[in-house]
Amino acid sequence: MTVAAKTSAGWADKRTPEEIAELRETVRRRLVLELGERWVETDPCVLDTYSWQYIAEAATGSQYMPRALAIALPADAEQVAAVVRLCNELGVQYKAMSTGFGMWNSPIEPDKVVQIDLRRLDRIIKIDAKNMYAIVEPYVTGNQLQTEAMKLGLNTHIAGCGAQCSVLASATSMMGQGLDGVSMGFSNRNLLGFEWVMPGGEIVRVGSFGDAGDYFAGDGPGPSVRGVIRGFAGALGGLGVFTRCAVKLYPWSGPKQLDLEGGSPNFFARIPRHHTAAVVVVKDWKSLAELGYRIGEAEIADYLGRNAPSLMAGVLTVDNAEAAEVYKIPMLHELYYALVVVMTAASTEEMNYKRSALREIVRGLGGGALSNDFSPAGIQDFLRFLKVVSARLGTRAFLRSMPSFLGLVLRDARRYGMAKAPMALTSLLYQSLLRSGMNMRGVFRFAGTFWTAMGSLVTWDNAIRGARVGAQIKRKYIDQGVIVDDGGDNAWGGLYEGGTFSHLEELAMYDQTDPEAGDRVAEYVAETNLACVDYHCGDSLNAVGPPFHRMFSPACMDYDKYTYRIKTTFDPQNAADATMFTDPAFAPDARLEARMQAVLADRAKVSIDTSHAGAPVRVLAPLH
Amino acid sequence: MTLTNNYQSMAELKSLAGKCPRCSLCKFPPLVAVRDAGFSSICPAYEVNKMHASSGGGMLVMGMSLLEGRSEVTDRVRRIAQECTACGGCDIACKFSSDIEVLEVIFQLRAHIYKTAGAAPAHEAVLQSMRARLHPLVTASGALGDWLKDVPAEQSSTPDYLLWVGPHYALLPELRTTLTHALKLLAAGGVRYAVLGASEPYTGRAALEIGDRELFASFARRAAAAVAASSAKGVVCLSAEDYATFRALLPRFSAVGKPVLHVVELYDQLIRDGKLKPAKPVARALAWHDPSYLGRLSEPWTSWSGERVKTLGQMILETPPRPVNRGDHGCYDAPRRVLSRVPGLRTLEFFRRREYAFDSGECGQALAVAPGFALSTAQHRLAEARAVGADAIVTECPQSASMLRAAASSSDGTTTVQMLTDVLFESVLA
Repeated sequence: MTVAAKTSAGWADKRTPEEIAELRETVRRRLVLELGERWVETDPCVLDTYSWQYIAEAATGSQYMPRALAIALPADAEQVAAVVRLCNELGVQYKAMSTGFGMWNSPIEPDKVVQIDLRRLDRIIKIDAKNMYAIVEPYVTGNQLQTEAMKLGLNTHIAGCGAQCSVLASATSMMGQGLDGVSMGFSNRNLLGFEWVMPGGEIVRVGSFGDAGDYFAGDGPGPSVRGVIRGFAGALGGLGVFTRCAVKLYPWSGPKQLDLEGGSPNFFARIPRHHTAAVVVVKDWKSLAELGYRIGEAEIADYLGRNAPSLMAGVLTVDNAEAAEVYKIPMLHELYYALVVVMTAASTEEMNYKRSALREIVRGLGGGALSNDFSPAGIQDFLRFLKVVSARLGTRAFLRSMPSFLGLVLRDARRYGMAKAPMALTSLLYQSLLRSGMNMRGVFRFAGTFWTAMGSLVTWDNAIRGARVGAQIKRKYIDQGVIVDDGGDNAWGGLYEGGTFSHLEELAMYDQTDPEAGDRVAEYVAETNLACVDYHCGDSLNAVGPPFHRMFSPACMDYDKYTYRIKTTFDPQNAADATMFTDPAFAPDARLEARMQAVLADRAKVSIDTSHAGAPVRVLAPLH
Repeated sequence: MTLTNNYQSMAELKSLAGKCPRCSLCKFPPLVAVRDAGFSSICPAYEVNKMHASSGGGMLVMGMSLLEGRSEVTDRVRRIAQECTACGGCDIACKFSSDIEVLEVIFQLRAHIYKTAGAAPAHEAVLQSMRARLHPLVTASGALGDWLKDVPAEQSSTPDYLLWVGPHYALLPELRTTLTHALKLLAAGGVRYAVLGASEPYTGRAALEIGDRELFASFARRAAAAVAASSAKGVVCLSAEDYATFRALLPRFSAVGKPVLHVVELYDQLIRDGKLKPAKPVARALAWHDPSYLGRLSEPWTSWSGERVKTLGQMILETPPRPVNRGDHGCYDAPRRVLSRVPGLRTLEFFRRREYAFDSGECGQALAVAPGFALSTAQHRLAEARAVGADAIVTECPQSASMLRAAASSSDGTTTVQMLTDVLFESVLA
């Protein structure tokens, strides 16, 4: 199973090696004239460094995507436009990448595409503190923008792929979910004006920048094109190149820099006086749904989301041996109905209000909280937290957890000192949420890599429902030994804009060097996509590329027909590689069809009841 | 199958390298610790050359591509691999989240390139110097023991320490004053030491950095044997490079069997014991630069053998757990403590410090083949010093100091670079 499946006979490369070499040399020579020798690369070994990609195995069966014709590193929008015009002239495709994390950054066909690496466009052009927005180039990371924004009392949304990833890429061309969404939105919602090198090479400036010369709004006096250039999921490079964009910033009431002690990988972040980091736990899925809504509606949280127990075990530890030990703690396994929260405030009074509001919500749902609030009320919350967990767990298992739990505290005492040990867990939570720098620990270290599923932008209770459907499907693959046994439920996600919409994606961790695992996980993705349609879970975050658009489009107002028209109108030559978007050159692949049939024939049994106990099981009907 | 962490080939690293998800963490300090967007890279090669191939992850993929026969060593590949300081920044950045041995792959990549295509001319000159003159300093004149004619060494017949001088201090005239100061400080502190003079072998790191692992091994064994033959109870290194090599590399070939200190650690001990008393105020604001050799590259190596198994379906576990160097056990506190004891001195911190300090271009034998790159790296570090408000830098690695001075003189020339030994001498004995 491949995602994009451009590997059938219809796509077979009929060129001879000599013709390819000649084309490569022509492209190289012309690119050098535009960019200079230093910024063009065609050495096969160097091209491989760009081919090696996260989840490439899903597309190619190896860790390498197909090689590009050449790598080009332009310095500015004009040079990008020159490269794009050159590709149009030579009849080759191009594909742009910013920080370049994921196989969708690479071409799917070998030796046909110029990879435009936007690494040299790495400036924060401006932070307008008064009007609360920043203008960035493609290689500015979430971490860099946040670092500078915080100095000015501002903060920025960071996508779940981590703070090392490009701000612009997710704002203009990708999705951009993240646990700060409750207060800072979703990447596409934060996009203001932008600079766009269109598929033919024309540079346009969109939004207020095109009209007023500044970037304070994403829409100009004419029709908005934000929906055109990105829609829900972004065009993933299939509609030209974005060389600059403005994003909204949000208030930050914390210090200019995190107060850090210790060293890597065990930093201790002192939580500021008016900030709270907490794990809140309730007794069941229904309460969890209510918890999310109530916290969102109360507008008290800056960060709000769900980390499943296995993800927590990854983030809390520095290696797999330690993670395996932590993961054995029975108490941890009962943190299914839990949300992680960070609340910030500018004053003691404001924080007191927020803590009180959170307490009322959590207690109202029969829950408890583990937090950095060591007041008598905070300690009561912690006791309630233990009570909820022990009620679910049973006294014996609860007591069995204690030695390991105390072991964790002792570890922290060794690491950070006895005085800090009680704050260590919340400190880790605080720094991991705030700076989005520990996500890799949770998902990559266990087995090597992960893929994700479900994750539609839907109502919070529907997201929970979708996560439960995904977990049941995942169980089948866990039982086959092709993904890590994380208990099935490894749903990660959060709520956006006060909880008006949300997402939960079902992570699946596996060893990417195991060919069978890579192949089967792709089936897991296909099967969860089918389930999204069947169970009305929304369009999955794996609705990427023509095969999966074919799956979702009929259920979603035939959106693919619109994106197809956008693509062919703006890019009649199909110069921008749109394999991951909507590809006019896509042809059904016999192998893909066969694998889809296999998936359809062997679908997991899923209960759609959302209660913890489960309900009668039914077999999903075939999609078509 | 039993595995070890004394990696002898790229193939032994394949399963670890295969876990690289290309997340780019190797390009930045641990994200939680980033303090300034303008100084938020950890990799000099990627900072200067921009291509993904120049990053830790890129080097790792080049290694895998060559190992799998997907590509061949070309001049371009060799150039990229050598235009890297092998400072280990990528390695510790990656290991904030993972256990991939990026630096080991970089060394194996260099070994593969050396075996396949030989060394670049400038690197070949270094290797020739090692073979013929037993040290890597191509342009240095004189013999390794000549310094004893100029600098009085008050050696003890019952030494506590073998003072390991290293070829830089032994041969370079510009370090003669610092060497003199170091010996005087040790004498003032009542340290009983011996030196090997002309018979002190070079520890061999340059050969490893170039890719000639056999030559490195022969030097490393000789150094370990010299330590074993000494009656001293421990070793004190003047050079950060030797210190890093003794602690992190030599144990792979031969047990050193004696504690190894850097001279800064000894100063720290002497001050704490009241044997050295910094008294004279040094009214300056200095930014302490953590040299890679003194810092993350000196983290002791621990031998491991064990198995890699899968549990919970696909979770990879090593039994017993493999020790993973994450940079936090380098020498960071001792120099800071020493400087804090100098009256009047205000020590500033770089944005990037300790295990995630940015290299100053001195490591990895990059200077020999890519002086422009090495200088750019040092200039970037210099700019960071200015950004934290320092017009002077203090460090304790002769190669670092040399690179930073070159960067200073190539810019406005106003930033001064001092060795910690000289600053301490000024306060204690001047």
